[in-house]
Amino acid sequence: MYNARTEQRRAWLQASPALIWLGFFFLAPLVLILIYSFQGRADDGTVLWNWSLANYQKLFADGAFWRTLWLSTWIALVVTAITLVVSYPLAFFMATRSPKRRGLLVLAVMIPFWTNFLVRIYAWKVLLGNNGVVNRFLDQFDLGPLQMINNPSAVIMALIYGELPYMILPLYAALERFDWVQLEAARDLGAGRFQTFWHVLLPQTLPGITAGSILVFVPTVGTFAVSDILGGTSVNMVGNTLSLQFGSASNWAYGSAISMIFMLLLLGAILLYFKATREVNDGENPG
Amino acid sequence: MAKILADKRIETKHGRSRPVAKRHMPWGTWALTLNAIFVYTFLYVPIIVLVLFSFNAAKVGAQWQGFTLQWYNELFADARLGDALWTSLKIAGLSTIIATTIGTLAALALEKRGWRGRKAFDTGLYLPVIIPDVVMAVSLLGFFTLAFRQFQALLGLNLAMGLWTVIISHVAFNISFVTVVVGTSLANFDRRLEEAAADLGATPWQTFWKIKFPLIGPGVLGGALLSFTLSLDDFVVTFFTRGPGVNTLTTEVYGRIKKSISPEINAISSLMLLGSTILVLTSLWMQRRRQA
Amino acid sequence: MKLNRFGLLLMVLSLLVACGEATPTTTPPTTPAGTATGGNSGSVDRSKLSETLRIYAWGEYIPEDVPQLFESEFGVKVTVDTYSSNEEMAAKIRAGNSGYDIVQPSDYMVALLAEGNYLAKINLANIPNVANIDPANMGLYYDPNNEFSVPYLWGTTGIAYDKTAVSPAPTSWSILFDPAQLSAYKGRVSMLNDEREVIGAAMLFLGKDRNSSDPADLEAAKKVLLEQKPLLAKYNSDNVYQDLASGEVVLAQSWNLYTGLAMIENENIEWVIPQEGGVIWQDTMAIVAGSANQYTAEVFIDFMNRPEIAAKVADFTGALTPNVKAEPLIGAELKAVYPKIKPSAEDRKRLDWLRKGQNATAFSDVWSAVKSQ
Repeated sequence: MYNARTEQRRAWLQASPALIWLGFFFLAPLVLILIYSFQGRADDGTVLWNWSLANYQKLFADGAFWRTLWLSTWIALVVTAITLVVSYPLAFFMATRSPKRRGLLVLAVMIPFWTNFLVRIYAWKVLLGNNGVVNRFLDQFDLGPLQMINNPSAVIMALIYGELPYMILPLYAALERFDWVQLEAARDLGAGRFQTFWHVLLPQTLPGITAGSILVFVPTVGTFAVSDILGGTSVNMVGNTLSLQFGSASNWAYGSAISMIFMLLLLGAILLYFKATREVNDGENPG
Repeated sequence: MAKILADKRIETKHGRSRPVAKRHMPWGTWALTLNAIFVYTFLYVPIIVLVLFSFNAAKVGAQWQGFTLQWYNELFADARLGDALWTSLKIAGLSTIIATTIGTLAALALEKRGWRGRKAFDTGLYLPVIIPDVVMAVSLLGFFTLAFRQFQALLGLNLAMGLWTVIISHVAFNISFVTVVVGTSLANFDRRLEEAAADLGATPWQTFWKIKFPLIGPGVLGGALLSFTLSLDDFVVTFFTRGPGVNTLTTEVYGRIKKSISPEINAISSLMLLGSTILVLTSLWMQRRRQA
Repeated sequence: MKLNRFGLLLMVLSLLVACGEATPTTTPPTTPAGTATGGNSGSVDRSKLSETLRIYAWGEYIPEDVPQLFESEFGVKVTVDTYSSNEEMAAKIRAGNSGYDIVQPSDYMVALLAEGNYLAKINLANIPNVANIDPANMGLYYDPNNEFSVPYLWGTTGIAYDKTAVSPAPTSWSILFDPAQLSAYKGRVSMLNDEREVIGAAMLFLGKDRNSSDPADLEAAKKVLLEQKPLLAKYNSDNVYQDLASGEVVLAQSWNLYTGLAMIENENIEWVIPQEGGVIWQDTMAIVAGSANQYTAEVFIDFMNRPEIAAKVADFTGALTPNVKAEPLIGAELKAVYPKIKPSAEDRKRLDWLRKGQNATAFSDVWSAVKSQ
């Protein structure tokens, strides 16, 4: 009943809606961007049809872009790391509550995010601004004012805030279906807490960690709103460069070239990361 | 060991594994609780600020100038915001339902090993996750424009952007997120359970709903929640793919933000929070009553 | 299973409840055409009016009751969608089939869109109220015969400051670009987040033309901007008015449109067009080429140029109205600050337009380099 051919056919059948949808509404549009990236900019800001490699040549010589990419990567790594460290114990906490509580806890994570993201970012500005709530409070005790906004730390903090659910949910999904009996077994067999965590819990929740890290890292690298509103002049990220090129600079061709290279690098990084985590996992559970 | 195996069998009979009782937890419970309190506080501090400031008489700035309901009155007089909220929920709801279905199926397909194209599909699925949203937005605008011209030239069909183009686009970026999250809960799924069910004569349909779905349920729910949130929060893609008259909360807020985040926008956010909190509490209460 | 059912229930419930919540706030049914009597709408041929009119406008540019007033007078349902940059709007219009009838391009964008045949020729005969517009705002470089656009609002770019924090009162761009002067306000200063406005101001400070794309000039401007950058709080074109009014920044390159609103909220805010010169801009109303509702669009543009409506628009936005008959009707709040934000004849000589389009890449490259540094 479970022979390979029906299995193959079923797999294709299940994959086909996604394949068709993404083929039409993701891949085809993406090919368009690829085509744009070989064109030029007309004086009125439209795409000038003139095939060349000029955009890519410019990009590789563009120090501004590579500085921006470096800063974005660094910020995204910090955000992902902190988010992971904070979320794992939280997901563990959530997954070990009674089923009734679990539902409540998951929703409590989501509720703040059913407001508008701009409104949430601005709420941070109200809190941390030069004349913000915190500084007004400090003022009561003749302390401050503290400069808490318009710097990289403000951006990092607001990004952590915004990305938390994207880490918590996959981790929770992985931990929720973890077979807790195994922990007991490991302990019964004399494993220490750290050993139990490292050899039993971690390998089995690795898919959750991988998924969560990617879901956090990727949007963070490409963000533009948070750095715009809270970053001051010190934080320019790839997203800001892209919105400049697709926005007021009206240079879609150059913007497209940036996007292609950026996506290529990101995809490469993710595949490497997958490979690394898989090797760790295989090392843990041979066979 | 025998005891453990016996336990496991019992667990399996219930269809899912349950965490062991609290006292067996090997991790410092207090540290976990403290971390949880910390994270939830962090999550809710800006929200509390937002709610408080929706009652603040001051129009700008962080100074408290007294309690007022003025912004709520203005909000209820402001048909645009209400309409925008409704449009947002419509788009988020519909695109979540479609994306969750398609994304879950894709995750099930990926879980099956050894079919041709699996690896390419797996990698390709990450592209919509890594594409910066402004790029996706611009590409979709270009695509729809081109497609509509072709439809007009070849079939004489006159299509235009509208709500449907926004929903299609939201589904396109949501599918991958759902697949990733559902995939997480499918990873390490014990295939022998399925085989055993099949051996005992269960149809694939039965096997899916009785064995597999209960296990991936939380993943599906997680994916749906994620996709709903992403959709509700999206600005760029909506902006570029919408037709006239399609105005979501984000596009409305973006339009207004040029001037200011008005307390009125804090007010509608507070109402949304209130709405979702009431929902959570009601359903919990209903659940408890059912159990009682 | 509990969590699943619970979750599903929640999703369904949230949709249902949201539906119930939103229903009372939806727009009431439209008044049938012709029931309301209009002021000076006698010459309008109602039989030629369409059922709907779709407007693509700047955010917070059209007061909410104005479309409703038009609707109750003419029975035309008006929808307003908003954008927050000329380029976002142009992208949709150029894609074609946008469905919009009226857009609000700024000066340079009128020229770019008209050149690409994206705008319809306006029949000014259907817009008698155009006579209310100051001749100084008509026939400008971007549309010499007003074939494609009718002025909507205009303004300037200059320096806004809090007089309790910044003294003596600045008169020159040097307060923003000379590190010796600027360092006194470190972290409390913002520049617009716009490559042309910022580079243009630096050019003026350097005694160059605001539109210069000469490589040597751009290099000099870049140097000035890099020196300025560490002293700034941020580059910001959104809600500068809130930042000024709340004291988040005390000195800012700003548009008078924000400054007027900030002055209303905070009496210490002052405005100056620096001695080296400033920028003038104008936003317009134009009809999208291929619009099926051209006549209705013209009637709407005429309606917007009624003095009482134009005054409402000025009150709502804090910008300057080109409508001379509207000026006396402006509300008390704006009227109090209007003389401060409206350039005098003397000021006006020092103002000029930013001519965008050609060489745009040179400006965005400098801008990217400055921002990433």
